[in-house]
Amino acid sequence: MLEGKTLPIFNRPICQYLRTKAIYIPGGNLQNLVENNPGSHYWCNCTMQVVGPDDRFVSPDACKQARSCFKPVGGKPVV
Amino acid sequence: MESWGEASESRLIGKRITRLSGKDKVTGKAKYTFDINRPGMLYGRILRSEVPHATVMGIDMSQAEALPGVKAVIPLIESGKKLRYQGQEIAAVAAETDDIAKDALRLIQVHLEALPHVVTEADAMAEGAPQIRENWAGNQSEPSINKNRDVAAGFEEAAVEVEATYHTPVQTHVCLETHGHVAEWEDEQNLTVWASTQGVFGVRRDLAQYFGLPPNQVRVITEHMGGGFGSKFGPGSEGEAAAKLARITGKAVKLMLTRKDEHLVAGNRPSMTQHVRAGATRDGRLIAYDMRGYGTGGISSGAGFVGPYVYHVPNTRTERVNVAVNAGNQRAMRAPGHPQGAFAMDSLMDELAEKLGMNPLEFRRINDSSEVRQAQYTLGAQEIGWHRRNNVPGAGNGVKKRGMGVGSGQWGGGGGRGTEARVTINADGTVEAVTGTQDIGTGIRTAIAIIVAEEFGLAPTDITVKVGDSAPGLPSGGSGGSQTTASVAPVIKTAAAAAKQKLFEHIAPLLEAPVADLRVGTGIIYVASDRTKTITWQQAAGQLGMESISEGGHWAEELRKGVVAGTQFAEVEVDTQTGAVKLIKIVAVQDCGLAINRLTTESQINGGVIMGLGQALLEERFMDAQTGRMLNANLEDYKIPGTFEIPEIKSIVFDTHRKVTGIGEPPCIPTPGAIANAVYNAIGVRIRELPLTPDRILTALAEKKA
Repeated sequence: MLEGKTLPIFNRPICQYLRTKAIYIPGGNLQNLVENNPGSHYWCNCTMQVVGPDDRFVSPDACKQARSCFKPVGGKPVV
Repeated sequence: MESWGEASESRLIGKRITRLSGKDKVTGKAKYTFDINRPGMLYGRILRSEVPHATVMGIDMSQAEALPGVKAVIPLIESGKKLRYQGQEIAAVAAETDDIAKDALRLIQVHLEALPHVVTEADAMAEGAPQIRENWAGNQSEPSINKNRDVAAGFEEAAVEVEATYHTPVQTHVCLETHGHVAEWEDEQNLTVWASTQGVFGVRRDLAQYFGLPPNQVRVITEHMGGGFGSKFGPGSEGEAAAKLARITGKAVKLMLTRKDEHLVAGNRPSMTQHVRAGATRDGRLIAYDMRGYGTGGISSGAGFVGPYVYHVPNTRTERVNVAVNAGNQRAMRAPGHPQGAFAMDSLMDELAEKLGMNPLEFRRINDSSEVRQAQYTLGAQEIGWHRRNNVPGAGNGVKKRGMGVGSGQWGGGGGRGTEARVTINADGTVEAVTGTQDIGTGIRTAIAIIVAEEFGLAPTDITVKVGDSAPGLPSGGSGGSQTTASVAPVIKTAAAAAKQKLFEHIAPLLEAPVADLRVGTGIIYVASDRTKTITWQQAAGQLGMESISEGGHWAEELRKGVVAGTQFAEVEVDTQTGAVKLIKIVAVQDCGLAINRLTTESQINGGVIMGLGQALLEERFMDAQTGRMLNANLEDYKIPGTFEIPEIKSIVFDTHRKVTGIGEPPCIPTPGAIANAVYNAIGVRIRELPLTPDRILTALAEKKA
């Protein structure tokens, strides 16, 4: 089971709810969610807002395992 | 190795072909999400914040729920959480009519505790400003700093310097079709959504995750859509609300944003302010560039912009920060970060050229390493009549003064993997091409038909193209980054080629010829070594009997290529008494790689230029510092180009190679810089702030006179 573990291609777990435009377009992938890009806008698919369910801002730097709403890619989704 | 073949061999590819959906669009037959009406459908509306910053203390929906005709009311924010900008979602309603839904919104009681707000960059960065974003001291992100070689040493070599501040304001998205969805649940586990989106499969994935469903139990349909420009990825709050309301009520729910909603919450191009110092050597080489800049994308991050841009500067230092204000989030807007950075860079180039006493076009030639753009400079200059340009900016005595300017741009757009497609030949001769991309108004439907028709010797109208539906299970990426054609075309091409090969294998025995000897002509298949052996397409397909041929395609790297260059020239006439800028002509020379359809490629360039001139002359979001509200959240006061503002546009498809690339974004990049330089050339006063409105022109002229 990879749940909660860092996938080999990434240097740390990524929240499955974190979004940015680059992952929607061809050639885009989750690598775009590994490091903050100053030119990118981030949002949460749980809230559809720039803050997560805990009302704190989301970004690759901010969405870490310590947050209560963090669910890693590969983990079970939270409905 | 796959190839698009030589231009001389192409019957359709690269020609000017009318878009297949054109008739449907002008007759109203084409159905946009806005046009979808389902049996028993309810109408959704969203209650939005009218304050820029507050804590939600409570939401009382009871009166709205009691209103006859109201079928559901749901909160979209919890008590105790913050509203951070005007327009943020509070609650949503579904009702039997749109009017009832609007009435219901007025009955929702929201109890708020106001928080201090800032809505301008200056106020946000001022000492003592309330901090509105956690971990952003002074409401600013950590600076993004980049260095190349030694900028101080570069300035020591400089013979001339320019130090200036350039500014572009926030532009809001103005898609002709507003954001929105029609959501309908077949049962608790199967959802169908008609979405005005740039990414059918992205919306499917996001809604499936949101509702905890397998993706194949969410169907997303986008038959036609009225513009997105980067703002329509993912379902957004409005998609979430429509689907929730539909699930609760058991009815289809249509929820489309209003024009005011669009201005407030549907995304914007961030502002840019950059203070730049740059130097050049006496012989016209850029040598040093030092820039500090900031921009705001509202409460969100992402206010990036390019700089230095296009032209090579060996010694650079740049520092950028995002500034948070209590306003709606930025979203990608056609070439994010490029037009505003290009405006600053091209203005700077002209200012440096003037200090050197050099023609600005010549200065660009010295500093631009792109061979493509070097050729474009020559072509564009000829087309605009660059020799007629004022040698002395502002020269002449008339009230109306003319001038010319030039600007440049670059983009990627090479496409990427991830598209699946299927091309089917039926025994009755009909042909179908299916993939999960979406036609966002740019003509991919027609491009697909052209590619398949070219392969089969048919007409584009002979091909049935099915896009914008996730149901066939043939995914494709979102239409963003100018990636669609370059991502889809190779897969369609290889699918068609595979289907043709299968058909050849089927009919080769009939023609008593080896498969390798078969060719397609216009409506026929023939034996290359014996042209007497010819059958029509219909006859060939008829040999399939009860069968069909259905083949998938594959990614073929060699059929696509990224990185395009473009340059534009503008001629303007400025009325020095009214300050009005009239555009006379814009010449857009755009590297397009292999243009599958020259006509829609030209349309793309025209559209980019029009969007660029809107940024140059008209568009600006105004925020009221006192109330924290947008003052021009409508199309009366937020101006976009109409027919009176659009000049003669000469769009030149600049052929560079026979590989497909994307050009959705690049044509809007050079326009503001070219226009700003043309205005300077006309009146002899440099305006470093967009848009170039009459008040700014008159103020600048008055300051010059003083």
